Amino acid sequence: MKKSMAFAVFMAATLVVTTAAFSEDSSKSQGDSSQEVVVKGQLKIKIETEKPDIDIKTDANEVASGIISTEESFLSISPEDVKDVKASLPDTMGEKRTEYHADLSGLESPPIFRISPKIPTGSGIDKWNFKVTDSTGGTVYLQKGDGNPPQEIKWDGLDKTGHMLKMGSPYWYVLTYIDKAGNPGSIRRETPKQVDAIKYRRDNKLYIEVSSGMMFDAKRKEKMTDAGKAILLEIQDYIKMSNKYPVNVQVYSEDQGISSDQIRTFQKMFETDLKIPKEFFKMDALIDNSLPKNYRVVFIING
Amino acid sequence: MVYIKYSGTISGQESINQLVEEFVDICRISGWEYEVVRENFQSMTSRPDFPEADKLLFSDSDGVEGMQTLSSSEVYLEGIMIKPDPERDPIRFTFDRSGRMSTIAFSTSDTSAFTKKITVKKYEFLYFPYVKMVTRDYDHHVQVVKLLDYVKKRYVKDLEVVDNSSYWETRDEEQLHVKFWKVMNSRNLIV
Repeated sequence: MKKSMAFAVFMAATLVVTTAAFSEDSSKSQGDSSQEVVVKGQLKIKIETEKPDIDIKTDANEVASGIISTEESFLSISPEDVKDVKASLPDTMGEKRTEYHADLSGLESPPIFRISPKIPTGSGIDKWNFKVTDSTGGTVYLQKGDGNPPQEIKWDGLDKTGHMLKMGSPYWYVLTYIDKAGNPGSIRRETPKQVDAIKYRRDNKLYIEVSSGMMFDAKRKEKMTDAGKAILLEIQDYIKMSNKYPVNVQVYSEDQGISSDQIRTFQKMFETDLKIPKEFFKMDALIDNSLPKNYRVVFIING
Repeated sequence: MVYIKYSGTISGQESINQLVEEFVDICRISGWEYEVVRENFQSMTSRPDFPEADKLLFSDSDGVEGMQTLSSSEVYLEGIMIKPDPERDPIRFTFDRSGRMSTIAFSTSDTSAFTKKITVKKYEFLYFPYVKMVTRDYDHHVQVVKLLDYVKKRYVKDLEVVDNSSYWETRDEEQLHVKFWKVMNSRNLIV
């Protein structure tokens, strides 16, 4: 009994001491928490995102293929199957994702030269002269003026007579100037610019010019190169999308026979790949005797 | 007399073509006269006023500074001659076949033979492996130096210039004015 009493007293004492200690800690922590400041709110961060250009490519044949296969499967249903319509329906309908060739993005487009001249002169420019020359050294474009030149000088690829630059031929520019103190200077393009395929608009028509060197084999001149086939594929897709006929195709070479052979290659490809009758194309076999040489294929698409 | 003498070498035909092209443009926008130089012995003998029977004679190189004797096949000059002012000496940037700045001067002389019925025409040329020109006044001199600065910067990296007014080295405009003033005064004294 004594033992149990002593244990009870010890437990009571322990409880008192523990409670006192806890109450002391508790009061301390209450004192600390009273000094804390809690701020609630929203942090607004502005992030600007740049959306990249989306290059979507599609092949009209691929788009149509899903629909065609569905139609074919419907048409192949037998009268017995029609009784159970549910069983005759296909599981999937044209779910294949397709590529999109929308913009002939592989082709060059004007301007051919675009320069922002940075002329190191303190006294300002008195006179200047911007000139584009071809491989013969002849001037195909000339622009000149007094005072400082414009911030940007452009050449859209047209020569003095309004013809587009020659395909596969090198071009240079030189900006020559003399400052007000009489010091001459120049800015020159050292490496020539050569364009093998270009697209441009004129008179509400799309012109696509491709050099024969890119389109056809150097030895077998009626045989298309891989690069030529790739470009033709893009052009074909564009023709299919635009759906505006007739498409005019002009083939220029050194010889009428070569031009005719190359036209036959195109006719074959268009009929096989495009499934469009040759009457929808107006093809001309032409000779070009100009210098520098300008053997090329020109596609003229309405609209 | 105030003169400038310059020499150096251009690297390659392409550089000569570019130099000529640029100076043609500079002359056109500045309204200066110019002459593109492209002469060789073959083209000169084929000219109608140079009868085939006539011979080109080499000049005697003795006693003339910097003069050399050349084979006729080397008589070749290409470049441009610029005339900002028709009254003043033209500025020549002409090069020989090896790209060295040079000038060629021609002269003709008629020699009567014993019978006096035959006249022998002689065409002589002098080849100089440098260009030398007299500048008439301050403006002319400064203009030449500016063009030489450009040529040295872009085309003839080893251009060497002898300027007896020292303006090429010093760029002292005052000193150049004084030099021309002295030259003008000495001329007036002689007159």
